[in-house]
Amino acid sequence: MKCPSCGREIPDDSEICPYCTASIKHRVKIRTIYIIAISLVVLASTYGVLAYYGGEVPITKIKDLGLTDNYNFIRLHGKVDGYPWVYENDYKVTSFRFKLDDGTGTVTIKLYGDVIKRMVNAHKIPAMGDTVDIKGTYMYSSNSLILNNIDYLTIERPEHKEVSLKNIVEAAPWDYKNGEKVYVNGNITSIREFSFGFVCTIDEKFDILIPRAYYSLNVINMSEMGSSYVQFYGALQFYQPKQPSDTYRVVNLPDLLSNAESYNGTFIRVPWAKVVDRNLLTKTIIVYSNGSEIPVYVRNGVKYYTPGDHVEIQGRFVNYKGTWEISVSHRNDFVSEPKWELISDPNYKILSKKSYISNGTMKEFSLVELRGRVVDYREFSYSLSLTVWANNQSYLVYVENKAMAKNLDYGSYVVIKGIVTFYNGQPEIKVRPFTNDVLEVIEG
Amino acid sequence: MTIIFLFMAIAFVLIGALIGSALSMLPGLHVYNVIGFFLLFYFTASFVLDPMLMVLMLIGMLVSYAFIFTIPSIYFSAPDDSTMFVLMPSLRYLKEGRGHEAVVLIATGALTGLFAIVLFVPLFMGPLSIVWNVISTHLHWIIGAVIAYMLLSEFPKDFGRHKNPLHGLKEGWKTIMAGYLTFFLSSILGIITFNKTIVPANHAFQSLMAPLIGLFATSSIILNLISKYEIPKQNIPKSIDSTPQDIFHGAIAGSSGGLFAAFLPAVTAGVGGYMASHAFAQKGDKSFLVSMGASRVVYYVGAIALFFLPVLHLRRGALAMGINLFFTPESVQQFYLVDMGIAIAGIYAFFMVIFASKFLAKRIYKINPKVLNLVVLGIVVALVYFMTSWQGLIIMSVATAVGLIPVLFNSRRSHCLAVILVPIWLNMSGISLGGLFGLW
Repeated sequence: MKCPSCGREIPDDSEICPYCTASIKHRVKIRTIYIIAISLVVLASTYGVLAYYGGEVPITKIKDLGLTDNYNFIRLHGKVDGYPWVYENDYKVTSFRFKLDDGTGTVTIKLYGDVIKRMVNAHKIPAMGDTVDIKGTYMYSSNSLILNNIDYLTIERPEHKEVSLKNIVEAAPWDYKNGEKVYVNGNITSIREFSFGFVCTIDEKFDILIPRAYYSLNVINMSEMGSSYVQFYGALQFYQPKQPSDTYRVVNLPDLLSNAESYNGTFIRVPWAKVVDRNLLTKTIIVYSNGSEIPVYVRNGVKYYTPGDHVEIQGRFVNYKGTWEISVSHRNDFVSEPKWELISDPNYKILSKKSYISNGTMKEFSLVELRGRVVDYREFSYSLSLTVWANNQSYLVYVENKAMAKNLDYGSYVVIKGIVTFYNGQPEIKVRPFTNDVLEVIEG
Repeated sequence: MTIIFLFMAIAFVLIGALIGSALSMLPGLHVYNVIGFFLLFYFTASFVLDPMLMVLMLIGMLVSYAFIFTIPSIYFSAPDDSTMFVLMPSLRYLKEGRGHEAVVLIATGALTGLFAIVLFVPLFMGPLSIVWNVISTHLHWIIGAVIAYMLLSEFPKDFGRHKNPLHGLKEGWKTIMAGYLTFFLSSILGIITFNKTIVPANHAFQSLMAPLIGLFATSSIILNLISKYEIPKQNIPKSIDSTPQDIFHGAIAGSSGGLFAAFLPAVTAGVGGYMASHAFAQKGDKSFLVSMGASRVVYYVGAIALFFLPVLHLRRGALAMGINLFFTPESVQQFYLVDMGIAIAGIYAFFMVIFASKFLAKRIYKINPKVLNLVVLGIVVALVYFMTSWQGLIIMSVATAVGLIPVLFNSRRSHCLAVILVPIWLNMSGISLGGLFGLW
């Protein structure tokens, strides 16, 4: 017979080939190996079917993310926490970021380069309070998710409710929810620039925060907004200038006064009360809440609190000369003016356009243009107040950013474009930065 | 995903496998050299072709190469760094007229390796991720341990009776010292290659081609040229001299070694498989050939599966790094597509390697081995010149000289792998020796 391995002639009863030492009996048929190879078709088909049907990446909870998820492609579903921010280099946005909260934790979402451009072109820009579904590469060390493709971002923006400025200014902390989507209509009467963005006051009553990210991405046109009556969209946020301390017991005034003895000498916090009266000499304000009133002694003075203001008080409940009062004199005590403010979405609506009227009447929130001579000016830290003589009368001009004034001196002829507002009942022209408002020295 | 995309994915895998199988027949040409050119082409055409389709085509090429490079390694004696271990046993098979059987044994091993990848890698997603997290900070000393193992496992070979004990001692140590010299010279060659691009800058991504071909391929071809042997008529068997146990044993050892190599930088399939064969106490060539086939496939193809593995995304091997230049693995769906591509290309490559082996086995005995080796040497030199210019030829000549030392002194050729191991080990340990050789 022939050796099945080397093909040489070998004795018929051989168990091992004497030439190549191959075993004659213990062998595996090549045909069997072929069948095993063909069975790979089953595996290939299985993976093909899985690839075809098993497309969607499952949602991961942020609390479950760990080291083993590093560099993994994961999907998160949650709300945009706070407002987005950007990093810029040479006035170009290099990175756009926002925080995502799914109720179990937060992750920073990061976008770079062309993805940011595509996000702006597709106008898929996240805003505070939006619900987003996002897929990207998770980076464990920075607890962040890199969004590589704008198609992997889906934004569900809840419908905005209309609120009137009057209501929102008077609203208590519990009247609205943080993150609630609303819109308000108004005129921008003031713009202050900060590193995080712009705080715009609407009709001298209500603040809107425009995140710098939207300004840097050119999705918000401040000069267009400054010359129009605008509908602003955004999410409400309750702003507390001072962070309350947990060690102060939260009370409401009727409870406090009805159980005065038991609260005597304790540190308390009244989250919301209205100033009804003040006495600058005794450094005392009277506040009203839930049908009760109480005097509040403020050691640092009460000149900033005028009747009608809403305040938050943190202090000690004491009996002073037979009268129950709240004493704000300890290091951690405070009286602050918390308020609702709007964190702007990356969109707005122009309701009506306005133009600057030369020597126009001083009608509230109208835009006027004035040419006159500077008869007086007073500089403050960031702003400037001018008295301008024009049209045989004097005008009060308030320049919000004194950097807008160049070569200004007593007697200079100036062109002023601004919005008319009222301060202490007197009209003034307010010159706002980042708008079409102007303060320019001209030849007499 | 649409059904059209799925069919396009299959088509691109097959196109890649077809290209890969044609290129793998060329002795000396590594698929990574060709993939470099494909990537350059793709960067200019990326707007036309979906990146996933390009990835699948490259995977098809890689799987084909992992299987089909067995042909030039066995029939033309032109191995690469991972097939050099099978050179000696397969040459013995070839001289016995069993070249095709050797190819079937290696292809069977490769097939088992492929099964290991598509079946088990998804199942071990979690554990592999944990293992990687544990060892990723210890890589430098693990590679150091691999090097130590390679050096220490070289043992004095007794060649029988000697004139006197001193002569015996000298003969015994000659092989060891030749091995250590090979290791030392290969290390220096590696440090120079890794630290300074000697080949022209536009071929810099091919800088390892010349030393690897010199160390493993040309030195083997020169050995064949200077030794007298004839290739007898090859038998095409219907069965292979192996038991299912041998195959299973080889598959386990090879897959473990391949996985070890796929996980660690610098450790190639050959070393991984070789260490695994020691670890699993393998005996005989049959099981060893199976294990080397498995190890090679798990090393090359497993690395790409680990790159797409959802919880790991381990970037190991030139293909994973190349793909990562234009593509980031993202979803489980992509992993399934990759596994599908691996399986399809595997079926094609397995039958292709058997077919090509049968074709060659029926004809190779008619060719004079010297002529064959000269032709192969010509192809290899031409390829090196085409890919790396004359500078590459000089490096290849130096590497050939180093590669001939273990061949002539009968020591282990695995010492030549120091060309990759040592520079990467030094680099990972934070040691820079380039300055010693005037490279900065």
